[in-house]
Amino acid sequence: MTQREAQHEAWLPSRRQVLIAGGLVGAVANVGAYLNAPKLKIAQRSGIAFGTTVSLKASHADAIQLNNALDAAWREIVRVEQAASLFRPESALSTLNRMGALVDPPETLVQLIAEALDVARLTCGAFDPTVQPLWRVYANAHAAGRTATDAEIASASALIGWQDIDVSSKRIQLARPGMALTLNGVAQGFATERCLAILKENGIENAFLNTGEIGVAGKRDDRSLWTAAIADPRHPGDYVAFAQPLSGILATSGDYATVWSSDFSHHHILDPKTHRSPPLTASVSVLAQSGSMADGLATAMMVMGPEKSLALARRLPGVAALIVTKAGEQFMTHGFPVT
Amino acid sequence: MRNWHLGGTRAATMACDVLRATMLPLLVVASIIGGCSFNPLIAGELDKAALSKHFPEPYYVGERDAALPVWPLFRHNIPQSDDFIGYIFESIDLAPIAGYAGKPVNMLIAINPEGTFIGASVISHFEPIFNHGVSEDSLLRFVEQYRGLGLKQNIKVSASNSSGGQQATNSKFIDGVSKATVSVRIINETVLTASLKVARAKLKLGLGQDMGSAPTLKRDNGETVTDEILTSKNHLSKAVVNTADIDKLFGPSFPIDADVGAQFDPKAPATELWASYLSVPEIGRAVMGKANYDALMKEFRPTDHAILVATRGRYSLQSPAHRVGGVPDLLSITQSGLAINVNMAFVRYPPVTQVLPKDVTWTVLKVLSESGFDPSRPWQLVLTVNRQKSSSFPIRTSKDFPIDYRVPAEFFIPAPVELTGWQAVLSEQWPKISLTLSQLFFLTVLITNTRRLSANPKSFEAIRLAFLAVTLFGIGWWAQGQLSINNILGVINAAKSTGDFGFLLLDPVSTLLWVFVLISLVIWGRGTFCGWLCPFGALQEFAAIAGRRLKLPQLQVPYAVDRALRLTKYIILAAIIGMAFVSTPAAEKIAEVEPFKTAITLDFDRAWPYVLYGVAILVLSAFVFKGFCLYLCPLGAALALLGRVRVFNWIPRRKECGTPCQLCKARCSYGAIEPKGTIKYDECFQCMDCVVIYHDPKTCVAEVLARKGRTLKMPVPAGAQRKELRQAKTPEMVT
Repeated sequence: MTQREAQHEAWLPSRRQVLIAGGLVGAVANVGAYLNAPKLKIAQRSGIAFGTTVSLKASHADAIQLNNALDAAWREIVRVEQAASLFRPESALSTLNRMGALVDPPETLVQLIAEALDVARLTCGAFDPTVQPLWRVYANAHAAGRTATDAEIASASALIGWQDIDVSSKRIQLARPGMALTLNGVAQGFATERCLAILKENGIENAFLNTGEIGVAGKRDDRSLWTAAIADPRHPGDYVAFAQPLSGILATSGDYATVWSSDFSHHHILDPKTHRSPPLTASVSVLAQSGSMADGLATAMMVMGPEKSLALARRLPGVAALIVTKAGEQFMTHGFPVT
Repeated sequence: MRNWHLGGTRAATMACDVLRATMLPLLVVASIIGGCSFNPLIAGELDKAALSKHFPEPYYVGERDAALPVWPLFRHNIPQSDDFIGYIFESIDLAPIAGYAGKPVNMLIAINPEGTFIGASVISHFEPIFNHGVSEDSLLRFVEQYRGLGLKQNIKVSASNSSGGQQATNSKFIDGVSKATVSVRIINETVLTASLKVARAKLKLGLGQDMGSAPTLKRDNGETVTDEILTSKNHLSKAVVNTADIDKLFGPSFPIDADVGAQFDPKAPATELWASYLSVPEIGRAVMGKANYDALMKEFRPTDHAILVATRGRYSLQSPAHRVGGVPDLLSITQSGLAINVNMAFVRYPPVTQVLPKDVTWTVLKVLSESGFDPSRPWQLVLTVNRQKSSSFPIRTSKDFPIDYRVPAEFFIPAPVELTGWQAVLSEQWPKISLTLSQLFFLTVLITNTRRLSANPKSFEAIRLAFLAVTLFGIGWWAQGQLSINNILGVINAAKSTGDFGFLLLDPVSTLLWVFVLISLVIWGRGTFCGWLCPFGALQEFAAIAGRRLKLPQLQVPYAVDRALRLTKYIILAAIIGMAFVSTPAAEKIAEVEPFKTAITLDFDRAWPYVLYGVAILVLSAFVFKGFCLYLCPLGAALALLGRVRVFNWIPRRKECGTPCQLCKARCSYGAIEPKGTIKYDECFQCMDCVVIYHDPKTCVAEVLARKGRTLKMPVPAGAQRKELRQAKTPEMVT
């Protein structure tokens, strides 16, 4: 099962996805070339959130409108971060994990948990936000320079169970003491979707958001689409594919992001049923209109293995997936927008 | 010698008194206002746009962190995603440490994710020494030294007079700036404090507080520690948490009935806790058993820490699903208010010591050395207690219950004493401090023994000149103990901004002098400083002596003009103090009226206008005795006002003084004796000339006449008095 990026070193930029579009610089160069095109202003907001570099880039004819929209989008990033960050001890999620219950939780957290549980339901628990105690066992063992013992794994695994979260707008309750949640598998996709929506509400049509997951809207310039490169899970800096989504969120999970053993067999994504890292898949990229769905499915499909994953992706409308196995094979559903 | 007119002076005297009468309350009010507004909001000066100017393309400044006033710095890296370079921040947001002028230095600092300085620069500072003093280039060169240094090193400023042979520690010495040692020390402290705060919060490097200076564990001496010693010496400490303690912590909103376990037996201890620092081998072996301990230690690097924690009672190490060796979720460790990250250690066999009951739940925690844990300092085991209101809609709350522990000091080798702050200053400056103390001691002896010493006017003159030479060369040029109006500005600024007067201790010579001056103000008045301890005053006096030797004409300032000119210093003082509440740099500009920085601090090694001014003042003194002191010195003005609290009229006078004798008045180089014979202590420099006359039976007119069995007769008409005054210059003429 899945726990993505649960605590990636706060200062490391995410290498999971690499923006290759040349986005804004390209746009600057090209915009002037089209006589009829309005002069697009380009602006950007960047910062550290979700333990990674988050950058929101967008273009629009009116600079003030553009900047207001980007400011609103950045506030949303901060809001999601403050609700669901495991890096920040003062976040609502950290408080919930400490206390086992949270009265009057922020709306963002309620919605995130609800969406995470939707993914869990859809994937029959291949995605499970309650793997956090198990993740802690592995992470602590790794930090101590040893492997986790069976006893530790067993005791932490007893605390897994997405059905044991009781969530309403008034309160969130974890059924058993010691249970803890991670929303790192959905938060970045969720935030990306929210930001795209905010930009759209503010009349911004062209945007490229990188929160660790990629969100795109509109075009890079009048002729070309935004392009996202999908990293090669075994060769940093190389790419297995380039995708040009028209819209939506492109999320990628991989066994290479936080590695606990040099052969990539132990890493931050954990199967909630076997309590180990999944054996077959190296990386999964999912394109979907819902950010938490794209993000959560990418994690779940790491766990489910290629066959079941492709079957699930085909069944879901508007969802496309690209899977790279540890053996180096690539599988892809029809709708995946490779160039 | 000055020839004063007696007429037409009343207006000037009155104006002078009015001014002083209003200035004193003004000063007091000013310091009260300053004192009440401790710690107003000190905030950074730069917003994102301003910060961006410091980091041009391809760098750009990201969005401010939600919790801390730090900004991420990125580098555009097309076509790849942008690289995160590090964090930038203003030191004033994180470490507003008062500088020499009482106001914090504000630095712009950039550190990378590994805790290495990308760079540091000064945004603003009020250090007087760098304002038209020591060139600001040397400040730039100083802060440039941070680039490439790491926070894991213990960065220190090397003393300019350092004897070399620094110990090979984790310390990294950077070059100081001579003449500005105090300022750069404060800058270093500012840079490190601010950066360590950011590093702890954002970089998770687990940096300790005082790197390189923590005590180290003694070597294993193979000693066997018995169970009795474990208990009696508290090597395996036990704490009992009672239900009553917990009740008190939760208060009435979560009473005992919110705790199911406690209701059964509220008298029984809620939990018993044991903790032991196993990294001391003697303790570790005694607690765990030798073979088990040796196996356990294989899991630890020599720098890591092993802590045994055991519990018995309702609040156990862990939730019910606890397994031996698990990371406790109800127990955590804190030190100095910072949480210490713990990991679990794998332990094969349970502890062997009989001190621990058999039915405890136990675990061994591993604290990595990177966490910054210092076993020699006290630490806390924090028990988290949950209570739940039992209703259909249960609400849970949790409270932390800290229990203090301390590993006995006998197991540590004390850290080599690395002095910081004022202690370092003290150890470096003791020769200068000694000279200052001895000078103050001699001065006290001199002033309290004027009667005896003045018996021989020639030798008294020699003593005084020798003393002034020490003041100038020793206190002034060597020990840099020139008091200045800037010191008063510093105190006002500190009261206004940080409320931190610690900077005074960084300059012990000046602070000592100030303490002495403040005491002497009460006893003797301002002249004790101005006439004896002011290096620039001494320099002027030597200039005046040189002038007389060269037979330069001594200018006589007409009495009315003199009186009016004397007000100038109060106006300058008012301008400086008033401006200090508006703009510190402007106040410091006005304070350049003092040539002290030029002449004493910088040995005339300064931009030519300042040197010209300083030399001009000295040349002036060769013609008009101590003209600067009489007319311009704002420090003298301030001391004159403060000196109004003086309690003794200690300079001896006779009833004949002034009526009719005008000898001392005429002889007074400072114009500090009223025609009616009284001493004007706020103009008196305590040169003791009049005291010498008083005690000299051959000079004092009253004495001379008394010996001849005559007395001086009064009154004398004003015109005649003027005439007599001129005659009074030579006592022989009177007799």
